[in-house]
Amino acid sequence: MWIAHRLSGLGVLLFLILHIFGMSMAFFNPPLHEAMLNLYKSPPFAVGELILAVCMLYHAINGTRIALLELKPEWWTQQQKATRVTLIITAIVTLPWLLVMIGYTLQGLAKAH
Amino acid sequence: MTTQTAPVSGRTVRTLKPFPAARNNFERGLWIFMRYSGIALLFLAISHFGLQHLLVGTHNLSVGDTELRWGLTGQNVTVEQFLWRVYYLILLVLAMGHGLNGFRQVAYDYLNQRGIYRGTLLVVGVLVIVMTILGTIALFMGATPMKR
Repeated sequence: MWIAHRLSGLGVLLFLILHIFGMSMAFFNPPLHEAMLNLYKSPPFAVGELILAVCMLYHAINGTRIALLELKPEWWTQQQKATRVTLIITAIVTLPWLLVMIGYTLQGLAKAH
Repeated sequence: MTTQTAPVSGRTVRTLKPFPAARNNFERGLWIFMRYSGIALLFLAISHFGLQHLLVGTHNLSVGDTELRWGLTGQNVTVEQFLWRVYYLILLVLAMGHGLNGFRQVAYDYLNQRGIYRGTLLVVGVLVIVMTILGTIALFMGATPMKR
């Protein structure tokens, strides 16, 4: 759990650095900005986008669990249950989210051909 | 500075100081920052991600969207564009701060040699801060019109 929290956080940070660089180029170098936007539409980044969604949603929901447990010491006997609930909520939120994104990707790829 | 434990064969000796106690104001401040920025990012980052990936869709993104939201360089900014800029600025600063401190904590746990830890933190720290500054400048300067 905690190692997944760290890995997902690092993964999101890595994308953010790339993303902020790309967006900054809207002012500094518009053609490069456009190239970065198109890069996100390539198949490797479509897969990366799915990983990013899982990382971000898991990190958000697990982070909420961490903050809540720190606030409520009386819940510390229920750690296993809290972990289960976290994973279930993550699955419920993430799965439809991924399906919508896969839909856009397939539409986009179909349009490109 | 050096660790008290005797060197165990096959393991590197930590040259970093033990983790600072909770009475350390710097660490306590950052701990509180991580909680509040986390709560804020829960709304800001998820709303941004949901908007771009669920409502707009990555494959529908174009330079025109950036120009509409940020406004064009040298032109007057509408209230709507100003609000977009403020929203993105808060998101940018909180996400980068949260990410940099998270990176620092992970680096502290795995990079046991003081020089390597400090060097890595310096490189990533400079990268993150430069990106934050670039992003802030770009946000408030607006998108440069493309020559087509």
